[in-house]
Amino acid sequence: MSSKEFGLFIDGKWQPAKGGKTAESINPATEEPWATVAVADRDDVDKAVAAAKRSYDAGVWRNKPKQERAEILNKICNAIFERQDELAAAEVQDGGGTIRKATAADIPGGAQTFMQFSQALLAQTEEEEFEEQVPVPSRNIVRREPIGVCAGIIPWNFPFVMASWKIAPALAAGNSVIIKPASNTPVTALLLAEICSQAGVPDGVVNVISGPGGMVGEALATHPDVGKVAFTGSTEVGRRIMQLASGTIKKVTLELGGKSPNIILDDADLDSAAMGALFGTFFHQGQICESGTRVLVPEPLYDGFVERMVEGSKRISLGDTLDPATTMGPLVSKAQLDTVSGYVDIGRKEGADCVIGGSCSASMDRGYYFEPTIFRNVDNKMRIAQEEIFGPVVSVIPYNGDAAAVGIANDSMYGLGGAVWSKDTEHALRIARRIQTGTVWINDYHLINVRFPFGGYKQSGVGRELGPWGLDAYQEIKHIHVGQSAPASDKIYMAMLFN
Amino acid sequence: MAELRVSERAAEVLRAVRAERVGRLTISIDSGCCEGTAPHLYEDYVVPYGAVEIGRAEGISVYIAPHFAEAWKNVRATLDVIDERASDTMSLEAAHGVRLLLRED
Repeated sequence: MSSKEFGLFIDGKWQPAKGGKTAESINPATEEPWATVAVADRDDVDKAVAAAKRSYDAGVWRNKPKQERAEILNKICNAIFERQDELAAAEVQDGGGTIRKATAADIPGGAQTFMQFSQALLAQTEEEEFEEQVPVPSRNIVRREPIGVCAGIIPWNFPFVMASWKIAPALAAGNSVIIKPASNTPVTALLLAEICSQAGVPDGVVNVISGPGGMVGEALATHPDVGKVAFTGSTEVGRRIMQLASGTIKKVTLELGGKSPNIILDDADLDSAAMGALFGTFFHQGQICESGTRVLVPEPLYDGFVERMVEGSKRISLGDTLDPATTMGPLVSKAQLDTVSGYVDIGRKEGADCVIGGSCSASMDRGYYFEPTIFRNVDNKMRIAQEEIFGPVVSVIPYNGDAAAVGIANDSMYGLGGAVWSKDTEHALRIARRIQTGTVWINDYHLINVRFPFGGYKQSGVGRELGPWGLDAYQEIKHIHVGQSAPASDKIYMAMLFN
Repeated sequence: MAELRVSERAAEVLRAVRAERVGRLTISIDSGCCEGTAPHLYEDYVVPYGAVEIGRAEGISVYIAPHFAEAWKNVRATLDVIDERASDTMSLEAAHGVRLLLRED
């Protein structure tokens, strides 16, 4: 029996799905249901879009002074911290991350997103003015306005952070928003809607509805009253959303997959780089889009570096996700476990050597646990180096010379993240500037900062989230030309038509 | 050339989806965050330039994404389905409580 029950959050209220459907959320560490959540269908999508549109048209949120909107965003940030224990426990049970990660990254990360967008909103100039003399004198106002109803479709790997990344900028800009969380992990996004409402966001402005991607996601991506869709998830689904959104020319931002390079230069601090290579691939069981799953190592250092990685990987502790000593939890689902284990077979068949891991964890008698897995002798052309595995599997690829490292790094359909390790910052910077990805860290990994843009080159996405760049993505830009009330004969451009 | 077979259960699901849809169906195999490389069944899908048709399943063309075509040229696999309770893929078989997948031989 599951103990917690959640409805849909529409128009400021918890409500059941119109069809009465519910689904159990399974805790990936125990394989047992821990919560029951309402499952939306098309009628609920229509209801949520109608509530969002009504609130937008009435101007209950967008017409509030921006100081007031900014203050409410800060209140949401504080309210998240007040409920952090409850939120962290829910995040862990829904998605299988560790309590250590939830308390250090997920919940504070979500809260900080609201604070950052509060600051970005206050820092932004709503209207800029320009004088122009040609062909007639005019004042020109360039102003930022909200888009309208925005939809956010988010994945299961960071449910709370992703919900925050979609809701906070939408609210800052004055939009109304509908979130569809992943069906595996709906709970913290639903709780966040309640928090927003309690912090003073008017009814209908934030709505969260859980339901299948094929139904709810498709309905949102095609709905004529939705002006923007922001999606985080797989490249294939992102491509489909872009095609679906084309029917109504929605604004689209996409944050998709990756196969990010983690380049160890020959002058790196090798101990630190080896730990960084492990952190970049095994944090959250490798279920992170910007994971540095291709570790590029100079040939002369290759054997020793792989050895350091193998030794370092032994310091990772699989275990009960609610135990603070646990540093690695299970994968999110049985399907994901099967996918990851299939890739290990593919890697072996392709001729790469699996030097540690490669199977489900023998130490855990239940849950979707998979051991940290390191492949050596990987060629960048192999499928395990080109396809995103989304599990704790790293490919260590040898290279010869900086130019070769850059070539291998950029030989991918993806372009999301990556890192360069070196004691010589200038050396690392020269490489970082040549990497075709949206984020490059030097001597660090996975440090996404809500003040700076995040997104992908190539098939890793469209647009940027976070920082002032992320606020732009939720705004329309309007130009108002203020001409003079003067005789038509003074308006010389009219001579193009009139004699 | 890749070799593709279709399991009886997958064929049954494909026939059921075809009976519900009026548009042209396509299966696209591509990789991405959150689910690994997987086949996706779409109606009126715009096939990316350079995608390679690796076979047909119940008359539906199966394409591999351009970037993966080379690595996949010798893949031998069976298109199958597994039960999936909570699917977020937009692939059309999801409405039948299953997910398409490739089992490599």
